[in-house]
Amino acid sequence: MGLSCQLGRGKPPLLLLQLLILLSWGPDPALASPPERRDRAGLREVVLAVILPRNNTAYPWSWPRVGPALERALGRINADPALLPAHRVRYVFENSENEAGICSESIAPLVAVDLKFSHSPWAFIGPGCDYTSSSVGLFTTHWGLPMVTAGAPAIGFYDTNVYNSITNTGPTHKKLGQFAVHLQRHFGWRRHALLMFSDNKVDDRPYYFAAEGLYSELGSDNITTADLVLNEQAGPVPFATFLQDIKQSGRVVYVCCAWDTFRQLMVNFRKAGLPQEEYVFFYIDVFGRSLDSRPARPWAKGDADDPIAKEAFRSVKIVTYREPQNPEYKEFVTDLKADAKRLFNFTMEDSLMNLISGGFYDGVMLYAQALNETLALRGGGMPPGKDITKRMWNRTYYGVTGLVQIDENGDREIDFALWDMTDIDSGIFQIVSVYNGT
Amino acid sequence: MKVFKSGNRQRNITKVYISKIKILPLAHKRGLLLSVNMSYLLSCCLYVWLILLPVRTSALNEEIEVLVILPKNNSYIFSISRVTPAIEYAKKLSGELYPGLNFSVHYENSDCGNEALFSLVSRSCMKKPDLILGPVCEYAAAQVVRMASHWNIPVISAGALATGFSHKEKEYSHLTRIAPSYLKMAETFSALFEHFSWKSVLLIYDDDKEERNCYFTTEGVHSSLHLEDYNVEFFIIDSRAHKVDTEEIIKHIYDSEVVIMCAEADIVRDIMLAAHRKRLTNGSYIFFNIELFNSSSYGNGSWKRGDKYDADAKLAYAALNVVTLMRTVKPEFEMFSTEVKKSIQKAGIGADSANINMFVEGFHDALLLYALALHEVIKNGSNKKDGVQITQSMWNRTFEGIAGQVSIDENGDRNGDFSVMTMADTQTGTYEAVFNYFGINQSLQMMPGFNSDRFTLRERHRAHVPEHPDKSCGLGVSAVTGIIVGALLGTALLMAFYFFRKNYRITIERRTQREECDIGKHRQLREDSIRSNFSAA
Repeated sequence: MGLSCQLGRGKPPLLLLQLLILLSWGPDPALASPPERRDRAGLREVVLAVILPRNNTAYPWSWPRVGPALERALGRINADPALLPAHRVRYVFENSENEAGICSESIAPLVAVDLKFSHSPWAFIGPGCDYTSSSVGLFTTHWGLPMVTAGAPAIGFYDTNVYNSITNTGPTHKKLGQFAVHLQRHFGWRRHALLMFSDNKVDDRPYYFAAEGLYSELGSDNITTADLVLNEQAGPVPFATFLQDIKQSGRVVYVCCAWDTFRQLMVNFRKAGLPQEEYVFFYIDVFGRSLDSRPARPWAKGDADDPIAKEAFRSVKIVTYREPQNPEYKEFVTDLKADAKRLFNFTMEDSLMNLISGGFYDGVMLYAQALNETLALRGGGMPPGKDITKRMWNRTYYGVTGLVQIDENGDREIDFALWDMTDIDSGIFQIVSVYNGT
Repeated sequence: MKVFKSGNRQRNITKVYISKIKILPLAHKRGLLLSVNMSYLLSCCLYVWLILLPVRTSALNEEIEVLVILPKNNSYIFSISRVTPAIEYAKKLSGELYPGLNFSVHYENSDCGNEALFSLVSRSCMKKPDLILGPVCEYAAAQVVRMASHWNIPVISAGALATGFSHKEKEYSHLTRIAPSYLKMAETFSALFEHFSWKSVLLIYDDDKEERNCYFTTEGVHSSLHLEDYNVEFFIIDSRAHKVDTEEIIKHIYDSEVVIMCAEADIVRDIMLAAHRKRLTNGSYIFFNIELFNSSSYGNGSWKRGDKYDADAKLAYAALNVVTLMRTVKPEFEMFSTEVKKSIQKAGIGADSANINMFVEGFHDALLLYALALHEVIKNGSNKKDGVQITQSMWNRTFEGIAGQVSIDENGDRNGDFSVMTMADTQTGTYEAVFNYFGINQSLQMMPGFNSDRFTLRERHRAHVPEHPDKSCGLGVSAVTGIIVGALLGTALLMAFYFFRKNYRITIERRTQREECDIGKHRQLREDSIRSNFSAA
């Protein structure tokens, strides 16, 4: 390659002959198609490109959380010849974070392209953040490669015209919205809902996207919505103004924000003396971070406002994902925690975030199965991504997170849990109802 | 590769040849070995010759892969068909100046969006380009420049005019902007504001939410004015979503001294007509319109439409000043212009009278600038792969472009020259430049046509009360009408009260009489009951 660039024009034909002879000896120049790699045992190599945040464990899809699951999944696939015969799977990893440790939608496409050029992957695993997934998802659609993730919850990804390569084996906000529609129907609230959410526009905007899911689904069920946006970064939150707005525009209020802000809102609500029976607040806490204590007391912070908060939280119901109930999941989490400690020196707590790791595990297993089926039909080298993706959609698979049911648009049906204050004296919250997405 | 010293050259080659010839007689017995050794000999000759090659040729000799990423769609004034002739012209010119540089130019469609990045990536799979020209659209350029900077490839664009591209520490480190950015244009306003001591401004712009040209233009103005302590207000319109409410805009104008607009020509005309109706064009307010690209295809910028409002529009536009790029005319430009127009007509695009816009000139100059910088970099011992060096060599320099002097500042952005045009002749409605702003020394030059009356704010009624109440406004009831109506109502009420009061009085009297009767009766009863109580006791 380098030699051909240094030759000028108008050289005698003898040189050309010499060049041809030389080239026939030398290594092959860069190939036009991805090389078919075989390892020592003659197994064809399947390369997966992983793009996830390397260090920031605040993200449920960060590498220390998902890495152990991925290692385990690949180990299982490679060990069992029935799962993917004649192939060996390995992965290559690139970080999606910028220097500040935030997942970056400008860095992600750069590393995606680098990975594509250097390794010619068969599929992309991740990213998890919405904006990052968007830029990588556009590329995988352009390249015709499957993308498997348990993150990327925004409803924008449901649009198969733009993102038809993404299979989501984790929870999405479209399903959250559908749960809200179900709740409204169940309680008979058919008219209006108020959506309150935090948005500082500079991070990945998780609360905004959750509210967007609610907005979209409630809207298509003919329920009008009004929205109130908080921004904790722009100075002290004007709770008095918000309470005025709540009084005027809503009785059913969905709130997506940080726990501390929500608690302050409820304390202010109680202090304002509004009639509590007329209002209901649904706190969207999908990973149940406010319910970590055992027994669950989401109003308790240990400060002077606790009694007021306890009273205020009588009007609060909390929406979370539902932890998978199957026995394989418990075993998976135990293994996950041990592997994370061993491989990444990361101590993982028991939390609902682990179901994202489970989602990635199931995603990879599902991909392997779909790949196996596609190869069985056509054989040959790397099959077109469209075929594999299509095979992953509109099907059911039993994985570590229980029944993985992928709908016809590549989104997973998920279960939700509704928590309520069951004992007014102690203020303990418990699951009062479960929504079975499947 | 090692470079042999010239003295030893001949001897070393001879040595190689002799050693190979010695081996040959032995191999003669085995035919296979003979051919192998011949190949080996030839390969060694090849290596040796290639080593000598750069030493022998003293002139610059490089193959440059240029990738041009622009929209194919000819509705853009910087489409591939319009810019190609300019780049080909520049190639020829560069061929005369630097004979060793051979440019191989490829054009890819940016579609003014995500397609730009995909085109770049598809093209770079085998071999990455050495130079990227374009894209122009902001969002396309952002992605391409990030990728190119990551790959150490210099990018020159006559677009990417948004303020965000000024921050070249990390993401946009390899971008050189050959056309003046919106921030540079905004310097004109800063200079004017300082000169005339204006304090407050209303920025009106049309945000189409797709390419967002006027959004980015206004962002530049805001960034520049924001640094000083001016009072900046915004009014955002979305002509695609809603009809423009000129009445609402007029209400916002009252609080500002200066109005700066960026919108399509038709919308500007509507706003000026509305302002004229409300007598805002009498000199109490200064109106500006930003129309940068020197091309008639951005809509008819003048007041004439051929409709019934032309006369009013001409009067209104007498108060409108237009900020535009300064035009300089060189003899070489005429030749370039003729050739480019010929090629464009051959390509079948409509023959507009002013086809040579800032972008066409810019991409021509871009290629020349690169050739200049590369020539220098190679002379200093580096090569075309050193993107950082080449980019640095393009910054902080001045050279002769096709339309005049091109001065690139130390941040890799073009210093721009702008003109402020006003209506010189109110009879014919023609414009001429009254100010020239020179970016290179940030100086404002007053032209002979400057009339200080036009730019001095007249004493104006600070109240929101217009002098003539507009009865046709419907809901917009003026205060005077309110006072009149209130007075009428008050009078009516007083008169009604007067008449009604008489009735009321009669009623009171009657009631009082009755009451007296009743009270009398009650009193008697009470007295009776008391008596009876007493008697009981």
